Amino acid sequence: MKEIKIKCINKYKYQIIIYDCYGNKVFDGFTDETGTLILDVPYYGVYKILILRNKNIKVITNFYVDENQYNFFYFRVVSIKRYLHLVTFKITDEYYKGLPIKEGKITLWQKDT
Amino acid sequence: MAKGHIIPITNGKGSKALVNGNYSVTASVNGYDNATIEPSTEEISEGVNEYSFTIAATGTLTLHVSDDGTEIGVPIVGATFYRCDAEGTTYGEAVTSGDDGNAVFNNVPYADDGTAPNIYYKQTASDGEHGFTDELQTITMETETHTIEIANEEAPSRNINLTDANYDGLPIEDGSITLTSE
Repeated sequence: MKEIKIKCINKYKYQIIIYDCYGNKVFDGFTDETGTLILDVPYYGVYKILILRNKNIKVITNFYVDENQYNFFYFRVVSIKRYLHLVTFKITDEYYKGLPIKEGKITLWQKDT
Repeated sequence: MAKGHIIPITNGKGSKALVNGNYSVTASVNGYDNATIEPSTEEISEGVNEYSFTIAATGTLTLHVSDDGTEIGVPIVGATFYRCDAEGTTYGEAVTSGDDGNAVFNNVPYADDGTAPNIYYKQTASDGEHGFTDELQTITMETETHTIEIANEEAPSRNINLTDANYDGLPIEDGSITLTSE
């Protein structure tokens, strides 16, 4: 058995699922509230890790457990929800269907995620 | 604290780069009741790049149609009007003058601070016995209710000649023709 440490940079509690190179699940558990987890994996070599939050997969990647290194893995969890994309807003008169509002502004207030 | 993303709107449209997520929505549109913005919350999600909102106003514009364009003129019943944009495209249902000669546009914008947007409208029909202009009209409202006097003057008398197609100038002694407006 080889001890590894996983650290998700964003400080949340994440679910961690790890598969070996044959697709066998070797771990399914959670980090602590700081995104940190220490666990044992059965052998040196390549593993696949899934990092989930609220059942949404945030990270899928492979990592290599090296017998000659202290295996401390950092993962930057970037939610797909954070990507910017251009959004167009149309605003029309409620009672005159399709009549565009000539001029004004709307403000979208981002709620806490 | 929630972060506000301001999207300027021109001719009914505005764009901004945003991250996916849940947002509450507020509006600032002169002449309209900004609390009526719908929907008031929106989820910006992956793959959906266009979102539609509506907003309502509370003003009332009355078009009083008479034969001389005054308060005391003979009311014209059945004159129809549409709201339009600046290009004359019509929106919503027609309003029609009733027995009092009034055709009423409800839910139109107004502002008492000089910022009210233009309201465009045009007449598309009268009662069949009076003339009207179908040109695009515009007004701004500074009060919640406003009345405009509109004249639909009696159509002038026209002379109609009916002659025999094969005998040039020979008048038809008796008969009638019907002109149907298109």
